[in-house]
Amino acid sequence: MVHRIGTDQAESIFRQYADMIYRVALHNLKDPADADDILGEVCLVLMTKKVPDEEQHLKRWLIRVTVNKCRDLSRSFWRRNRESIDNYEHIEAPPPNGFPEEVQSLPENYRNIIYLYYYEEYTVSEIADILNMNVNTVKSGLKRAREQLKRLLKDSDG
Amino acid sequence: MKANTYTAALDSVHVSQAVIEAAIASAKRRRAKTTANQIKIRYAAAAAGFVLASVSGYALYHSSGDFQPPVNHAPSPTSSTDTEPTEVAENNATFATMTYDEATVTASENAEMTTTKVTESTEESAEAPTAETPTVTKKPTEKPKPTDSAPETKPSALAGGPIIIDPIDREIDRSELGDDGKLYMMIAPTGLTHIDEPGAFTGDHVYYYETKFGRTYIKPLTINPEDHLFPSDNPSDLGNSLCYFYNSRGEILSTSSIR
Repeated sequence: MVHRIGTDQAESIFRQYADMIYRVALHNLKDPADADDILGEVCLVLMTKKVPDEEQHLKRWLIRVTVNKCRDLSRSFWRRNRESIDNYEHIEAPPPNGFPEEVQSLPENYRNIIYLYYYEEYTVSEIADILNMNVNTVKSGLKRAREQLKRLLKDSDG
Repeated sequence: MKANTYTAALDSVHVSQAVIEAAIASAKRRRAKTTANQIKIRYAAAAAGFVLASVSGYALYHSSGDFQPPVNHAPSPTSSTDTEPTEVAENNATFATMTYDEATVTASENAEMTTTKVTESTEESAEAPTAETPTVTKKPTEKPKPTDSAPETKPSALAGGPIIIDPIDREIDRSELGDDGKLYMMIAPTGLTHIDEPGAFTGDHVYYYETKFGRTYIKPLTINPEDHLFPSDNPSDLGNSLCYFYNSRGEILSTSSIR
């Protein structure tokens, strides 16, 4: 069941899951500043939309909302048309966000699958449900992500 | 890199308290702004609907000769918001037929009708019409035609003019709305403290709705005077009436005067 919650309850839920939302946003966008923006977006959704009652469903729903918000931002006009700061050598690169670079170099969907599988410890079917994907797609994505990571780690080891 | 290295790296990622507070403050500010804008849009749409209804009624009364089915000549103010043109035309037709019946309705009957459900009036239409509620017992699809005695019941030119709803004096917060998150509007005689059967009007009085994408579209008013008696265009009746804004629980959130 879903229901609308008050501002105080939304705040409380947001504080509880802020770290998770931030991690999911970082996985998708790689940029801490963009991840901060996503926090605000998700908080607004919590305050204005109906949310699931059960905690288990609430967590999955929040992951899904965060992933969708990240996709919206990725596809936004601003995001598609701006130039990367990496092109300007005289400007300092943004500080590392704490994530392993190998994971960050994976495609977006693989990053989400790896995160949900290894960190949130969801099963393949649960990940398929959260990301609205086919189970077999998740399985193959997980397999390819592992292979890609293996290759990347071999290269980095030298 | 092993999985535990990965999880350990993620464990060290935390969002600062300042960022959380900023996100909450930003969300609250945007929510308040969105709600205020939505209320304004809904109010504007409602006012536009009333003006449109009155203009249609006025045009119909002053057309001489045989009765003509009302035609939507002017585009609706809400036609650009994903509304089907046929729907708008239908609404105009509804508004136009409204004023014929209203001339024979008293203010006390108006108050009585505000608590009548749509289903009830539909059932009544199958029965023989009674002397007490002659205009209510008609089927909505039947269009009343003017007779020779029509000039006696016609409202004045003044009565056919636009109905103006004054602005409400405060912003209605979303938390005040019911479970459906919608704001309803009704014109009724003064003195109401609670809408007894708010559900009776939810079919016809919704003039906005939200999609799963969170956008607000305006739906033209579809007030059917044969189902929900509407205060007549008679200035004396309107002077004793208010526009009530209420939620799905029937709680009156605000009122505004009408002219």
